Amino acid sequence: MPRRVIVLVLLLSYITLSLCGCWDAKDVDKLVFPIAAGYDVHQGDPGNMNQLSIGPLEEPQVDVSVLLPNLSPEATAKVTVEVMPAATVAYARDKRSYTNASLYVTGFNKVILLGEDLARQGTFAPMESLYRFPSVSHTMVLAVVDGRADEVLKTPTPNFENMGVYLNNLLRENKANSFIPTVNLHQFNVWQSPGNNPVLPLIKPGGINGIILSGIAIFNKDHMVGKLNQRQARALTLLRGIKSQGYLPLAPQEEGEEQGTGFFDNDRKVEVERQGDSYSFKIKVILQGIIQELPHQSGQPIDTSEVKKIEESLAQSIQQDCTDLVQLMQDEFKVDCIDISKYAVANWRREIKDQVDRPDFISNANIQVQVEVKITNAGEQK
Amino acid sequence: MSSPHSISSQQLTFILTGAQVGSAMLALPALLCTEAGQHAWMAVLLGALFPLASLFFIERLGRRFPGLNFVQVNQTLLGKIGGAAAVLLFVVYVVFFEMEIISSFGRLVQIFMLPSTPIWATLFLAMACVVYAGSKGGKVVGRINETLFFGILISLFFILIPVYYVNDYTNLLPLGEIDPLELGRAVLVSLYAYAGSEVLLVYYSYVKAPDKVISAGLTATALTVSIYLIVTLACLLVFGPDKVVDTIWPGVTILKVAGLSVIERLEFPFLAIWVGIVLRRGINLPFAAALSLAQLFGNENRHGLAMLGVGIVIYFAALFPQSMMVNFMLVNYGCAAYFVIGILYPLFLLGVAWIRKGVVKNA
Repeated sequence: MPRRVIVLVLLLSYITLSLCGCWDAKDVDKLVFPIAAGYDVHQGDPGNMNQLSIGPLEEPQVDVSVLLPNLSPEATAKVTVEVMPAATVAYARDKRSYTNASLYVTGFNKVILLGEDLARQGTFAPMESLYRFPSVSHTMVLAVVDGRADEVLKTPTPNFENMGVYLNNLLRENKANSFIPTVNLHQFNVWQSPGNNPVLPLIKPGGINGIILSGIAIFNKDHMVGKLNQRQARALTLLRGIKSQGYLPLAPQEEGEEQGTGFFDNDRKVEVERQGDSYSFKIKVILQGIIQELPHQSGQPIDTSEVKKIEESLAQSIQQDCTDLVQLMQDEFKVDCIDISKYAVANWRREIKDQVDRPDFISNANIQVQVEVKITNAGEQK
Repeated sequence: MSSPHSISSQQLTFILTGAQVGSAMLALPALLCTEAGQHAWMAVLLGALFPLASLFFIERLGRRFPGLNFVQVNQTLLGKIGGAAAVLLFVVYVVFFEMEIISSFGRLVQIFMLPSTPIWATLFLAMACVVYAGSKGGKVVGRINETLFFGILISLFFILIPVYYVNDYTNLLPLGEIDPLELGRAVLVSLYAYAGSEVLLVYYSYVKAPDKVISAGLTATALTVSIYLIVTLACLLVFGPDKVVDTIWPGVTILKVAGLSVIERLEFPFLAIWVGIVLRRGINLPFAAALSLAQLFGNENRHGLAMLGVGIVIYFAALFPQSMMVNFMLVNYGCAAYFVIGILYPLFLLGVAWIRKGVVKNA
């Protein structure tokens, strides 16, 4: 029995002293928690961080900027924004070790911003390490900056703890009250499969908090190819069928009456037909919502015929926006940014997998859009 | 039956499930999609024919030798020396197979949980648990399998959470474009995931009700297939057949694509549960090998010592693969080894039993 006890004590001591107790213990005081990061095409070296850049492997290609909250009570600034020029994104971690000895908790990062220039060059190389690094969460939200990402991170935002917190909130919750989608690292990756192309929210300086959502960036796989304004972005979200909610203007019922506002959520259905090498897509956008504002003078309750008129008028207006966007997509971008080719792939995967991403596939497709609006109630007023 | 190793048919179900379901569950969707694309889930179903064949052959064999253990069956059919050699071959197979399982376990823990902890420390702790559990005998092994089975249910629940948030049914389509050659290759790959069913060779003689072995085996296979099917379909729905192949362990990566407000990182609680699931696979096979060795040397009660010996050999063997890439290479050999030991070997013994009917009758 005593021998057993000795063995047990030795074993328990080993367990207590080994594993995370000895090797993986991390003192929280020695950690830093990046909240947001940005990648830009390399430009200048204001921080004098470029001293290692000798030889072809060290030549800086990308500026990696990281927003770190200063947890020390003595710190005068709320955040630090470090900009590291490096040959690759992961190699920027080496540069950091020359300015900050604390361990970066990379998995804590919530937001990744891509400068427009870098997004147009291609995101595969700069983002590869995010998918490879085990501690990185694929729920990090992404956005393209109309300009440079480091400038956005340096922008002061008086109403929030820091820009990282604001961007995390803005980009994560936007689909609850606007028709601009939330896109995370996982979604961006799977949208690069055959028959799919990613889109990302587009942000730029402006507004009370320093940064606004200005539209959507269109990608051909990992390369950004175009930008949409807010109205086009709304049409794109509806055509893509990205579940979201937002406000839409309601047309006046009678001439001279005030315009109203509705709050809608969306859905879509896609049908695909094939005749030889030509493909026809029928997209049905479904909007369902409530009237939030409808100042009408008559004093009469809104009846079903009036609701029908409002529904038809809104459907017509949205259908026009959608048709214009489809035209723009087919003539200018020549990539399927409305996520319909995947339905063709789902029918004829083996046969068309290699041709579905060619520009002529989407340009030559016959795409018809139908919008259906359903108003379910009009609030408390008649 | 008063043996310290006797188990109920229900425990056999969980032992067989536990011997099959481990790290393979996390890597299987990528391996199958590489070969069969969106039809990967069909390979899971067809692959089940291997453990079913193994179950059928072993049950037929065991039925011919009621009351005889694994070593006695071998020595009856192949002679004293031939039988001993066959048992030693089985032990070598187990050591090889466990080397891969325990080594992969260590690498996964290192990658996702304890990056700075040396692999020897992780493996030592894992093997200490394996040896301790195995040294307590078949009954304890059976109970451990029963208890830890519910860990699989919890881990499946975690895997289904991302499917609720992110899924695309078009990833499973079209169903009609099946290439028999691709599907066949995927079915062969699935062999690795079903390896473990051969522990029945040893456990058969300890089942209290041998007439229930088939039903227990069928239930175990159904459970294993269901688990693999759920994980494969979940990964296909979330990643699609073209992206799932980019990840090594889509069964873990899937947990990184969604989070709950109370549990932001689903992979951490999942991996904590998964450690128990894998160690089940780690216990069942070495215990079978240790028990066979103890039987071979004529003293079944010394299985604890044999377990220690087997555990030490597996521990040092598991330190041998120097990288995860070596482990992937070993998986291919593991598939072939399972086919030989799990299917051909019992079939061979059945054939010998059929030829040597007189010996069987005397036994």
